[in-house]
Amino acid sequence: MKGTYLGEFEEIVLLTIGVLQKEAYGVAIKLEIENRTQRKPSIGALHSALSRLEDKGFIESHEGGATQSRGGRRKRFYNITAEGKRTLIKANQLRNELFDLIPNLSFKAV
Amino acid sequence: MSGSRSNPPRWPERMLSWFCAEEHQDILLGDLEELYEYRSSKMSRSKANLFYIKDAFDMLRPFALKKRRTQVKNNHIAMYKNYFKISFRNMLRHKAYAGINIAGLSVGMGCFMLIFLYVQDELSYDRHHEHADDVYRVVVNDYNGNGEVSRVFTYASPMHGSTLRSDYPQVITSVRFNPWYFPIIKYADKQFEESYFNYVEPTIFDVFSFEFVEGNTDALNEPNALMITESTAKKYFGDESAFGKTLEVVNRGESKDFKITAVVKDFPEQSHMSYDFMASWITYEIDADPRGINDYYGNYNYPTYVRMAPGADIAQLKAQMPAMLDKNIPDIQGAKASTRIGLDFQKLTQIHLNASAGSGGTSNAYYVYLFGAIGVLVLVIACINYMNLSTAKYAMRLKEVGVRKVLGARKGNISRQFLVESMSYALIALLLGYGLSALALGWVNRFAEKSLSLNPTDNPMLLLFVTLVALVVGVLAGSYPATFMARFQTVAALKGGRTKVKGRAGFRTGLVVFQFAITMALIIGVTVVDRQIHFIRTQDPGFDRELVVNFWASPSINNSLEVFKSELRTNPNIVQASASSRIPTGRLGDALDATLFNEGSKEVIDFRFPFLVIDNNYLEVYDIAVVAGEAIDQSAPSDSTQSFLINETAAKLLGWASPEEAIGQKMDYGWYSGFITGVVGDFNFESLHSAIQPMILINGQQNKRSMSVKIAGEDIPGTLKFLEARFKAYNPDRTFNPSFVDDLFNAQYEGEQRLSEISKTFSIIAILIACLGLLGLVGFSMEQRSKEISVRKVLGATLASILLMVNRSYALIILGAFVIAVPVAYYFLSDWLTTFEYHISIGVGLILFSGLTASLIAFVTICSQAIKVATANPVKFLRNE
Repeated sequence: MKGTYLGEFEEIVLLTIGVLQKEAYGVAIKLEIENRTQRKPSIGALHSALSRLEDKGFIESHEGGATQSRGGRRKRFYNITAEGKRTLIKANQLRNELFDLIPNLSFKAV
Repeated sequence: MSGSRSNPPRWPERMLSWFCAEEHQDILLGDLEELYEYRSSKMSRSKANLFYIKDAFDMLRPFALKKRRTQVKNNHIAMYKNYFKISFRNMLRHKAYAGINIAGLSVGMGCFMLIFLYVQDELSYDRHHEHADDVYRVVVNDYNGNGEVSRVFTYASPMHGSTLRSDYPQVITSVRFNPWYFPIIKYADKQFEESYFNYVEPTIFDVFSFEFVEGNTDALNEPNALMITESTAKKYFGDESAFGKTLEVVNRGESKDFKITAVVKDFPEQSHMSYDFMASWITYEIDADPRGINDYYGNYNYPTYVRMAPGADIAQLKAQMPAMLDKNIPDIQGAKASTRIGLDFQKLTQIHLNASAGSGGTSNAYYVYLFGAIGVLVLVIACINYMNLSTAKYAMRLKEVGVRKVLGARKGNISRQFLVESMSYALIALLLGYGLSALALGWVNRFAEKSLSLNPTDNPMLLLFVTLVALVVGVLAGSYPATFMARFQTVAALKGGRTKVKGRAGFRTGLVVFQFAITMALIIGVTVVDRQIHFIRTQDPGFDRELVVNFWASPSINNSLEVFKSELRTNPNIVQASASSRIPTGRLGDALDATLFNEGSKEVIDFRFPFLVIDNNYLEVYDIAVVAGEAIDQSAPSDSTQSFLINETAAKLLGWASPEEAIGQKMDYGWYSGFITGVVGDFNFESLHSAIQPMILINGQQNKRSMSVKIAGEDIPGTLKFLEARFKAYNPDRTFNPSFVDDLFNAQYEGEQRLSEISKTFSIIAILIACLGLLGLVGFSMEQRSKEISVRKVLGATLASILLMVNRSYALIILGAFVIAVPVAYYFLSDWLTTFEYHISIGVGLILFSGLTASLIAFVTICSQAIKVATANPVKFLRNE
């Protein structure tokens, strides 16, 4: 298995999957990210990230049934694994800890 | 989906599905589609299209290619195991069918291996020298009046080699040889008559590569130094070291001692030259007649090789040669020397394959490529056989394919299974083919006079190549069955063996047509080659070759020639004897410049015809007809009043309407001067490959090296013994090597004879394989039609009518094959026939005969299968409906 380092874009994707819950599939994740972050990830980049996350064991996927709306093609739904959840929490904690260590003064200087 | 909905272009989708792993396709394409729908509601259609294309390209990322790791790996190994297992079980279950397949493939591969060995050997000549690619042999071309090459000498004049070396910077160096023939060589009590002794320049080591057993490259610097080969050293000195020992060499009565300064490994078998004695050039230069060694023109006794600078342009060097010749040779009969002769350069590595006029090669590129082609054809026929048989038996495997598909096999799996199966066949055939070729190797070696080896350690290329061939055969033979079997619909496959395969018989029929076309072309080829060889051998060459014995007229015989001849004639079994410079079946090598003083018109004609030195019994021995004038002057000739005989072709070329007009004309020929006294009928002095040349027969003294003796048909061994005794009386040291002129005559066509034998053998094999295939095919089709035929029988059809019906369906195949085979065979064979000046024409009868033979073979094969069904009791096939 590759390193379990979580990249910045990967973290956003992971979080978005968490937000979308049971409705997390390719296009939905892309649109959700567009709405919330004002950035426009390409669909290829997104799938590439999803595939990496799955390789790292942070998410798992299952195929849904065929739908009318997309030419009868199936969707692949993603949800966060326990490992993914742990990584997210850890990343969040680390960030908070670092954040707390910043003295108030330096903020003023910014 | 409503019609009003706009659709994106289709090609990005196709591109993606080609690129993506199957499991990603639905997901990615679905996302693409959904995004497109989403966008077309928000923006213009063309913009949405653009985004769609951009996204499609964006998805071409490595992850999409990737297979999921989880299940696949182990499964594949298990499946391959299963494929092998099923292949072998199927072979065991259908033994006859598997046997036919394996027999065809292994014979095909065996033939291919042998032919590969042969071709590989032929192509490897003279490549062992380090500078092989830069070495060229100097050849001298004679030009006739029209500027065409009339004669090629592979020995050059002595000054050619040295001038090339000194005056042309692109020539690194050159080496000259000066061979003489049949020296007697002595050491202590051992004495042998050798075929060659050579003087050679020390630059030989810069041109050719040698492996030294003893000595080094300084070996040829001193006078009386001699380099010999390892086997020669063994022959004279046994296991002792040869280095420093002395050999006595006797030539034309003179004896000279040589000290051995080097022993080198023998020339490999794949060499166009093979010299055992190489003495230092300086020895020769000390003794040589200075007139002889300074020639630029004539005196073609020096095999000469140049080594060019790497990358030098040989054509450019050749272009400089006319100027070099003109500078060094005075005008010949008033014309520039370069209009009479030219120098050419023959690449060392091509000498063996391009056996042209007078060259040392015995083989011919044409035949090598031809054998190569036959080898490939035999293999292709075997592959086609496999394809045909395995698809014809498709019904047998249909259920299996169906079940596999139900259990989740995809197209790819089924294809792979059948490829594995054909590979298994190919591998088994490879082993058997190897065995077969090992069995046949001895025969091939004897026949081709080679020592080919199947031992993989001697020939690692063979192992590599043969394995590659097996793989290619496996894929080639398996490709069609694999795609064919994989294409069946699951349900159709499961429903049962009677599935109609529409349109698919077309390809198979095509294969059979192709296979039969090859077979027919081979039959036509064999027939034509056979007829041509028969034609040559029975063609009247214009002289009598029966019961004529030929042997060497040594100088001691020549010194008392008339006495020797009359001694021979005392034996009642000897009809006549004659000495001459050359004999028919040889080549016309020597030519001199001639001048004709046309008395009537006071016109002088210069020309150059080859000549023959004969004595007054020559025409009698060879029974050559005299068409005008007298046979030959019985009085002793002198150089000033020579009587010349010319042949009819010469008379025609010199412009006389009838041979009679030539009689009494005054002529100078080289150093001879005299009158034309007779005209002889044309005869094929050289082989039927070339046209009859104009020639001049001179009753002269010099160069009569060949003794021809016409003997009676009785007690031939006794007569030969007598001849040997007389020969030994004059040459006690020499071996008597008689040969019969009719053997020499046949030997001229040895290459063709060999071609005929080999092509016959391999064609028969190809035909047999093709028959095996047809046998399998017809057998299968009979099995399928057994019910139909039984019903016909019940309704009163006769055996004949059934056989006719069955054969009719194959008649078209044979006709189609015939139509393809005839032009192809005709094209190649006419090409081959043009290598003969005298040849048969490929007539309608010959082609029809071949076509009928092939049809007959097919007919017999088909009937052998059809009769089984047609004569069986109908109940046997109708019972279980």
